[in-house]
Amino acid sequence: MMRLANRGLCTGIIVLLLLATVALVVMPGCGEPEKAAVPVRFGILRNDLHQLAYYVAREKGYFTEEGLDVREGGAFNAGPEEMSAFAAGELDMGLVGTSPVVTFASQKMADVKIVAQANTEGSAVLIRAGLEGEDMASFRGRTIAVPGFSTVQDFLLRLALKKAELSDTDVNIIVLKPPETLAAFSSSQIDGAVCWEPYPSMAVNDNKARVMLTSHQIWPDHPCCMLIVASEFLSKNPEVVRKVVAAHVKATDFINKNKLEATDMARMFTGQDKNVCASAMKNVKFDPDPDPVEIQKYVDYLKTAGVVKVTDTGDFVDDLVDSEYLPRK
Amino acid sequence: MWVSSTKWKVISPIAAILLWQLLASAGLLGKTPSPWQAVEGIWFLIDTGLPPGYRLWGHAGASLARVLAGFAAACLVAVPIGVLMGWSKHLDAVLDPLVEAVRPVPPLAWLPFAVLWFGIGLVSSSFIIFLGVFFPVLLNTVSGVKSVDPRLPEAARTLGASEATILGRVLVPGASPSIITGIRIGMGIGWMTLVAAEMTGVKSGYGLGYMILTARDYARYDLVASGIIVIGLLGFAMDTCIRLVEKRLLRWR
Amino acid sequence: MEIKAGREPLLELRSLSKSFVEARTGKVLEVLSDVDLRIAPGTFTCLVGPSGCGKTTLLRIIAGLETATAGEVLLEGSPVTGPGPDRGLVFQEYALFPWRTVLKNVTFGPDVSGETRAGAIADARELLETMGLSTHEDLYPRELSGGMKQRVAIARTLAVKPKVLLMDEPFASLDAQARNAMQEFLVELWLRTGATIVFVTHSVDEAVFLGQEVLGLSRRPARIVQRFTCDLAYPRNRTDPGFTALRARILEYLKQELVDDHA
Repeated sequence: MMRLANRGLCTGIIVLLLLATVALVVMPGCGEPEKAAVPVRFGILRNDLHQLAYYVAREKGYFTEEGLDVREGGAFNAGPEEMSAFAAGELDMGLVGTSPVVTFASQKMADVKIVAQANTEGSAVLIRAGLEGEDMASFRGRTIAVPGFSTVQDFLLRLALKKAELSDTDVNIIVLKPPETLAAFSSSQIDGAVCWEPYPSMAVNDNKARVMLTSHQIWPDHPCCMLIVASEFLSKNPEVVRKVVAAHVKATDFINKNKLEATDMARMFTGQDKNVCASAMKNVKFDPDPDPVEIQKYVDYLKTAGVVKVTDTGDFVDDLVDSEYLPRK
Repeated sequence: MWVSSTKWKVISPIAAILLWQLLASAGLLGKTPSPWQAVEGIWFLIDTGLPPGYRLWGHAGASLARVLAGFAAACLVAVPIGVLMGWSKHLDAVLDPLVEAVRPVPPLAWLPFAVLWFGIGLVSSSFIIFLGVFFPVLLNTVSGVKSVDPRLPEAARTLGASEATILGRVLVPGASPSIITGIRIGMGIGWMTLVAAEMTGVKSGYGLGYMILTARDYARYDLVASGIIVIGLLGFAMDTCIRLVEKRLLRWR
Repeated sequence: MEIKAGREPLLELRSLSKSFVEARTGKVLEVLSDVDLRIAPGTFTCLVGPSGCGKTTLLRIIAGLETATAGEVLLEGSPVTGPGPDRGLVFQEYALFPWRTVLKNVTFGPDVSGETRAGAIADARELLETMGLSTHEDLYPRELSGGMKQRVAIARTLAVKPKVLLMDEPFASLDAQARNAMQEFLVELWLRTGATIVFVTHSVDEAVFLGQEVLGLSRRPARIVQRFTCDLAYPRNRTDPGFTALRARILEYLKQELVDDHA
């Protein structure tokens, strides 16, 4: 009797185990260990080398080490698109350019906070191969593409034009998403463009364009991509945010300390070859500390352009940037 | 008759706007702009423009030019081909599989090729609109020609008409109600494809679809709503024009 | 009026046969079998036969809208190869161009054959005058009654001055009153113009009222199996004993034809 009962028990356990395995295989995400981690819906920009830290953190398992469940919530063609997803409440955290963050936050379309920085610099003004011209003035009367109005690149272009004493109307600024920008260079549809890496390196590598100005030359150490979080998510899950920031900082450190391996990972992340990645990596500064003073320049610009209504740009930036979650040094 | 039908026509838009304003006033719409904000937005577009300096008339004019160019080209190509396909069973059999294979492709999918073939500008965006307009006009023309009473071309033949004359003076007028229906549907789709078409980039910086994308980039959703309203009004105005032409051309019905 | 045998015929059918292959069953369907016919100029000939016997097909072959499987159609001695304005066809359902006004329907033929516009319009107005349609020239077909539509259709056909007028049950969709009126109108028109008319109908009464000669067709495949000469004076009276006797004779024959066929 005892043996029979034991056998029955064993069979029962085996069946249960089998069922559990099936459940795990069939429904990943449902069969995770008890007390499942809060999933983080994370947004990134497509093929944006600035956001390499996300890929490194994911591939090196930094998110998992922190006990996080970070899921890719979308890869976008330009910052405003990603900010629209934040406005719709579809993303919890993400990497995106400062300018769209400022634009959407000041319009109260998206309630977000900047909790860390991804990089500074890392964009370039390109001029179509075969065109004469060494400075911005040679763009007079020509067509220049930006990835979107109110993007970091749009801002850089306007800054560069201003430095060259050109006004917005001296050139023809159009919006083209970066992949189409390269095609537009080949068919001579545009004369210039401002893109994030690796697009400038890709264009140079394919002899489609050459770099006229790096963004370092336009505005040294200009803030670029930021790690942001939806305010509602932040108030509910401050510890999750702290851990994501920690993983992000760790990944950024890794990139800065292991340039070779990071370049190799950039190759995987952007799908570009080694030459392109190596050259692109040189133009990007990976730095997790946001600088509110520099960020304020975007707000000031958007205010003078009449696009956003902000009474005090300093207060606005103080409220927007929250460095509290960065690891103490 | 006319008065009452006009009365009925305005009910649904006014009701929709009232409901929209009501929901907005009750604070149920969150970040969605209210109709009043959209109207203010229209004024902002007229007065300041988006990007500043690019005013509403420029956007509307550029879009109208693109829609009309794509639309006119589509009609000029689709109607003759449709008449020939409706007239000749052989040509219909040969072309129909091609038409049915290309027709379901969303116009936007052609975007990379549009840029490759026509660059960025009027031709490229008109091409995308062309694709949207072409098929409804073509298919309505074919079915219109096929539905012409077969005795009419026969009667024309016994009266001494040549085949070319029959095409132009019997099949085309006979199919005209259906062709005009196709043109009306096509015009609607033309406006629908406009935003997509203007994603090919616009060299001039003008265009309603482009302006809506710009408004999105600037997080000005009130201006997005304004753009939608302007497109709606323009589409409605053009449909009314076609209806007037239809009324005049088809007064024999 | 009398048919002058031996005179050169205006229209001649020589052993005309027609068969279709039925698409669904693949069976060969014989519609006309060895039809011979000579129509003298100025005559009014009616063809009667059971419905679906191939009368319409016969007329369409003469008009050139269909081709015979064997045999030939000669108009003034030359073979017919396709449709043309020398043989005018009037359809049962009028087949007016709905987008053209009454006047423009009538001028369609002259228009497409490149006649001068002014001349065509004057001629058309004259035709409409004789049809009693003068006040309706700017109306569209949908605004006309059935009888009026058929008069427009006849005027449109006459406008191209055909040598022979082929009429395919033209009054079948009219109500009885309108039909009688149109029959009287047609007789009048024929007497006045001396046109050559071949008129297809399934109504014996109509055939006897109109024709100088009534040809009886058999069931499918149609052959001309009987000729009746109607030498009653025009305009005819339906209560006239000669009329009723002839009508009875033809009806009897048709009944026989149906019985034979079934046997």
